[in-house]
Amino acid sequence: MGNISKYAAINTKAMAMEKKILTDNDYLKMIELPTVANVVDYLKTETYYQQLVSNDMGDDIGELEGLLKKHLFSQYEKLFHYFTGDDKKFFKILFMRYEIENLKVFLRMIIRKESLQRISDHIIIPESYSSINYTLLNDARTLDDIISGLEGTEYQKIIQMFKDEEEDKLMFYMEMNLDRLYFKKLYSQAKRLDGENSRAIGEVIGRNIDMLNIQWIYRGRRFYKISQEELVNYSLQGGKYFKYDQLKAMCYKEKLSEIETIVRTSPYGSIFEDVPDFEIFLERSMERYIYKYFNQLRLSYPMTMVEPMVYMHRLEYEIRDLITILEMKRYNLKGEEGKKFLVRHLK
Amino acid sequence: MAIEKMAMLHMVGERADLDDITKELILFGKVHIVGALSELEASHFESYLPEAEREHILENNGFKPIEQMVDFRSHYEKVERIMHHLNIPHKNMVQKLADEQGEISEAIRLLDVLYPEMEDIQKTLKVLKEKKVQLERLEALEYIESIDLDLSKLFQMNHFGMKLGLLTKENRTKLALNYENIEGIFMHLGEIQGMEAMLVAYPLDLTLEMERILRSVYFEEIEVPSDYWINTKEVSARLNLSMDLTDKEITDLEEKKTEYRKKYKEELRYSFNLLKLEMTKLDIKKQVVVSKQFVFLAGWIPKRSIEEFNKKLQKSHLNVLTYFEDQALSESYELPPTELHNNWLFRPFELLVKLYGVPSYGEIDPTPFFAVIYMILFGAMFGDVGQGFVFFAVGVAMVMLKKQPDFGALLSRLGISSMIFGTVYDSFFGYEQVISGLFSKWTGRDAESLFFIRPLENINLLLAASVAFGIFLLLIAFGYGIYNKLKTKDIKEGVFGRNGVAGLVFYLAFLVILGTAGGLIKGVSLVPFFIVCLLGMISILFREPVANLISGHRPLYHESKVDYYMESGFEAVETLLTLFSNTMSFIRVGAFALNHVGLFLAFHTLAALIGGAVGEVSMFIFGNIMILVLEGLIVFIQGLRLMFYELFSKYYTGEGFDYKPVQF
Repeated sequence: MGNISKYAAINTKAMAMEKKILTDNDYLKMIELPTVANVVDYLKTETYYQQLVSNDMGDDIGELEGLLKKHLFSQYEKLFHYFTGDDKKFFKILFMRYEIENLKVFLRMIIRKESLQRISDHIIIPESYSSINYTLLNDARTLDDIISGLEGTEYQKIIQMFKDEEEDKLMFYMEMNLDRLYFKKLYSQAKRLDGENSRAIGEVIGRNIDMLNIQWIYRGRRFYKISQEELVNYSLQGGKYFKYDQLKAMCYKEKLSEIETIVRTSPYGSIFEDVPDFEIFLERSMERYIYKYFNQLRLSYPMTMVEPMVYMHRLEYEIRDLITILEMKRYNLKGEEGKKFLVRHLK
Repeated sequence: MAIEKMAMLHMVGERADLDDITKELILFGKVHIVGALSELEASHFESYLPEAEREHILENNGFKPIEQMVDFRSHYEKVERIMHHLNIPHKNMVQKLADEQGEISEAIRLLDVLYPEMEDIQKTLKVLKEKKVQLERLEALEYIESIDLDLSKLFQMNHFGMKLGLLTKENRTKLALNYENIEGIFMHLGEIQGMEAMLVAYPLDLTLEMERILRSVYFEEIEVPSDYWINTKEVSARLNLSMDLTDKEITDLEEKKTEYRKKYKEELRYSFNLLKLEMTKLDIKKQVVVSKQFVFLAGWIPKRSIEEFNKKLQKSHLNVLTYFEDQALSESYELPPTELHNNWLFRPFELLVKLYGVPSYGEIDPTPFFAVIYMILFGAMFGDVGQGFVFFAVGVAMVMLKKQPDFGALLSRLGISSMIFGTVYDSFFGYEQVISGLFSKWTGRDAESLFFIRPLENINLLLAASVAFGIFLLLIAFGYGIYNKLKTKDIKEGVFGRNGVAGLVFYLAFLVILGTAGGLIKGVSLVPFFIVCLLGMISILFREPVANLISGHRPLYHESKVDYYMESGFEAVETLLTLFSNTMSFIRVGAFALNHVGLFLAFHTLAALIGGAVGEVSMFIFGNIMILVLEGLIVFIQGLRLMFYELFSKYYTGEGFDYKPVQF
């Protein structure tokens, strides 16, 4: 009873918002369209994105990407007002992700020496919830500028720690540790939620942590030659199926193919069943898994925070897919070939 | 009327006097400055310039906003920072500002000297405090005191590196689980600052690997400076010495600050005042226009202050021309700002009126009416001599202590009203008969024959009286509304509208019908009244075309006919409903009076159930607090609701804007 009165409003809101999510049919149609402009046109005429995409919108994917991300954030804000107490704190930490994503954009710009000009297209600025001073970051030209611009935030220490690292490993280290910070906070706040919510959210976070650990260990060894001891230490605790011992074992396996075998025989094995190339589809398969898992989760935990969580994730994946579809046009990737790269599993 | 009459002030002065003029205006504090440019363009101000000066002023008639102004913000912030560091509270020194020609340059000179010094002190303090933290961390070395060891040897080995640092408990465990794979030796020393102090030894060849591993567990290294490369037994003494020295330095600096505080307190305060004045001047300067030699500014001033203003200008010996107009010349300022002016009794109620909206300049100030009625409503709903006195006392205390004095003043008036009604209701902290007992003692008459109306014994009387009072108020509201609308020549709403004459006639007829139905009025034929009601509805239905016919406005409808009649039809029906509900709404006044007694009754019963003196007293206190806070709030809100919804919506728009003079 307590839960119904607490979550009736937010769940109704979330479900109403979820109604607008694109259908599989929309996806199939867009995949078949030949050019970026056609897809933009489709969004403009056939979907609820029409309020978002202006008429003079060309085929600039960057601009559209920015718009979509801003849209995602505004949807987040709409839901945010429905929460109170610990739930609100939890949702506020979810905002932190965008802050971290923004920070990553800035870091990439500096480290890979990309131009900062179009940056406002790419970042969503949740100023009112943010501890970051974006003006300072915008003016930053070196890593040291970024570090001093982050004065007073919990990110400063992390960036500081890795600034002298070899250039090709730098980004991996920083991204991994920013994500670690986020998940650690999320994990501890999730424990403070009331029983049912804590369990439900715990299921998601536990799986998310597994996915991250697997990716870090695999990519860390495959591409960045990070030492095994470090990888053990960086892996997050609190995973659903992969505890410390399994993670350690994975880190110290001689060959990468052995890691693949471990994952394929784990409870996550089914997601790699029809995936020939483990490496390329690692991330996508995991996202697909989470996407499907949500359907199961919302049935097991009705009238909890799961509903808005599900909506937000579905929207986020949809936006990621949309960008993939647009990129497909650019690289001339057709039908079946393209579908493989989408989070949503299309028959 | 209680809305201040305003005049538009136009002022021309020498540009060189701009600073003095703005200072006078600020210290005078009664002029609501508006943008001078649009006033200048709309006015033909040359016409009222004295003949002799006209040519002179209009020469190079290029009045423009000031383009460059010296901004003192950074200095203002500096002085604020210094005062904050030195812990000097702010103080307004208006008198000194008025008496002295304060030199802003002196204030700036003082800041230029003091600020770097102050920042230096703060920076050094910060460094010293960081050093203290560092020293506290070095205390980790005290854990190996018992081992007789030369640290210089330990930290300067040929083949091994040595690191001292801190780990979280969690990370220490994590590391321990993988010791077999890590080429190094970890020694746990003990706890420092809630973290685990560790000593790590590793082959120098593997320095990079070890550093990476340590980084992966967020190891916080403690640098051991070479002056601590001594025997372990001596470390503690040296640390204590350093700590004492650092503490001494800190106290020295703090003393220096106290000294500064004493020495510069007044000067800093005055500088702050000067700079604040400059900042306020800037607000005016942004609105004025200047030519090469002259400055022109415009603003609203209460008419009653004009004389005082002129005197002040004369005393200041400023060479200025002033001119007062009854209204703004520019169309950008359609109405003057509204300054409510009420006597001491009604003034606090302005707060509540503004909650709904600031009356516009031409409107009647609803505050006096509001104040009287609201006091009556509140008292009637919350009548109790004892509790009223509590409100009164709390209100007075708030005013005296300057804690939200406006609200305090309001509360004290409501308290008095509550006490008056409490006397009539014969209620003292919920105890009936206390007051009537006193009265009968004084007058020697039987308590029952006196004037008391105890709510619970007169339920019907109370409810009926509430409704009757409500009808009375609604009629006044109708009157007010019609007056206001006709004043602005709004025939459509004033005569034919639901809140106009038609509505009023309709309401009166409606009351007669209701009265007959309720058996209050007898022997009247209702037919004419029904006809009047019908006519009223028809009038509301056709008000727009009829009003436009009479006044000669075309087109007759401002929207499509279908839309208009749809809307208007609903409105006519709604009028019937709202008038009924508006009237009945006032029943709550009686109901809350009953409710008030009822709550007391409940607490008395509870007290009796607990029994004993302690039970009764504690229940008495608890119950009274409960009622004071909870019911006080409810009645406060219900009263507002009656005023805003039932009455204000009939006649009051509140579309004015506040009078905000530039002040220091």
